[in-house]
Amino acid sequence: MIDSHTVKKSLVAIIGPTAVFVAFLSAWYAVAYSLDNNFSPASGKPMIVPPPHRLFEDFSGTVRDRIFTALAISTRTALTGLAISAVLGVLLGILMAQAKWIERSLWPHLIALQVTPIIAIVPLMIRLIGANFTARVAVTVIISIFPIVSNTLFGIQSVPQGLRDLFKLHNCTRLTVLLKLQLPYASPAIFTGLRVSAGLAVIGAIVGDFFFTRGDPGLGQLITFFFLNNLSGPMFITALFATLLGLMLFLGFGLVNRVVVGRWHDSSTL
Amino acid sequence: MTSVLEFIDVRHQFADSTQALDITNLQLNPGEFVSIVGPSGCGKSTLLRIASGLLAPSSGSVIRNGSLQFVFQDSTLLPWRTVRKNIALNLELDDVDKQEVDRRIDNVLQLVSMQDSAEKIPRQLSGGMKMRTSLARALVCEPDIFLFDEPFSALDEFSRERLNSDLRSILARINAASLFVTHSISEAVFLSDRVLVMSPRPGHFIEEFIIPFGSLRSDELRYTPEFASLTGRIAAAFRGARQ
Ligand SMILES: Nc1ncnc2c1ncn2[C@@H]1O[C@H](COP(=O)(O)OP(=O)(O)O)[C@@H](O)[C@H]1O
Ligand SMILES: [Mg+2]
Repeated sequence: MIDSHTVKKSLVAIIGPTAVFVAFLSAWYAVAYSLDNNFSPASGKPMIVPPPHRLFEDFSGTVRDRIFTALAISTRTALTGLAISAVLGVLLGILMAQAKWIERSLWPHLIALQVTPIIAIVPLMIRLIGANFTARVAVTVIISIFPIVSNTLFGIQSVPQGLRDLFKLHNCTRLTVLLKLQLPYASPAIFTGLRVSAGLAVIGAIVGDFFFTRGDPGLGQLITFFFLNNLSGPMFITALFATLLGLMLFLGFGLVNRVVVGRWHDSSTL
Repeated sequence: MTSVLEFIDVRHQFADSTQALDITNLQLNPGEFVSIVGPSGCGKSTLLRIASGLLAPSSGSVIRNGSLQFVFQDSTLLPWRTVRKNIALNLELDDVDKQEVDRRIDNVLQLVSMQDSAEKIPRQLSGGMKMRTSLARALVCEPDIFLFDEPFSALDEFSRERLNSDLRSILARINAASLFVTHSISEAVFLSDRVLVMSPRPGHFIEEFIIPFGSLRSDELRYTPEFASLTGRIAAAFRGARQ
């Protein structure tokens, strides 16, 4: 038996987003066809906003190769940055949870890092490290580390008193408490942090890339290139791939979260 | 007979200078079940935390002869572990060997009637079952002393009475002493050999009641005139304490 309540709920879950998507496409068409001079009189090609069904017209040959190369570069940057952020962030969170004075010493600097605009960080990293892969990754780490640190710290600090007392009564080492209590307890919070960071890592990899005028272009540089050459179709496609990259990472971590903590914690809705 | 737990002139004052406790003397004898009742905020939890060593008293001394297990007000189970693995935690932290662990866990699962739920995780359990698991986790260590801090206060009346009966019959089989904090006078009378009434903060004992019902107690005991008269007298002392 399927009860009508469940059906209604899943219908709402499908209809809502679909309706918004259709509205979005309609608005897109409206803009594409109401803009003056959107279509070149000579060739009929869209010049500013390609309508959705013509989006992939230019997606072939060199354009496709360049987009895929850029996508590979940006993906590699984002994933490398995110991996470093995850390890470093969790370690920092654990370190800060060990003593109030450590937390107080590091916290203001993390906040400062968090609020510094990426635009200010990129040129600095290029000067410091050079316009290379390492600098790109460094930018990505700086942009994406904060949610992981703060969620690890918050997760560990929210272990209830009773559970802490339970371990305290056994005179456990800090390592035992960390492995058997604090990290498992904090893991849903850590995964939430990872998901937020994944989005930030993609932004870091792409926005950072805008400023790299040397080296192989990632998605950011490619978007700039298409923009400067009035290639709106390819520019839109590149943006679409950037979105997909962020979405994949977000969903990926949602899935990992579900597998790891879904059984005992219900934070994991995709 | 040497007591398993003794408080001598124990006082405690918190950092914010709250005077929480002032116990001149408390003795817990081997195998004895002692309940403490008192108004909320009078220092009962503080007393148990001091008894367990979780908290060092501001002054006075606590003498403990034997191992100890603490049963908290919340079941304090690890949400990601099954019932069996939650019970194993205490043994794991004390490095008891694997085969011994399995044997002892099977044994206590039986004692608390949780054999059928051994592989469930806490979110799948009722409040009463969580508390049974928490009890099992303490029992499996076979300690000399149990400290209970209002363990059944979050349960409904029915589960509470069942757990009271089960706890009595389990404890009758092992020779452990218990210090049991509760705000239910009938629970205290049903379970205990002795009931101590505590004053408001800073908590000290104002009256002691010996419970003369022997070691075998049936559920019907709760509905006898003797039981009613004793709970009545303790309630009067308790009301006196609150003023
Ligand atoms: N860590 C603490 N710091 C300051 N005051 C506390 C602390 N813990 C408990 N108290 C105070 O000490 C008194 C006794 O607390 P507690 O032992 O928890 O009481 P009970 O368990 O009898 O309700 C209460 O007034 C409480 O507010
Ligand atoms: Mg209390």
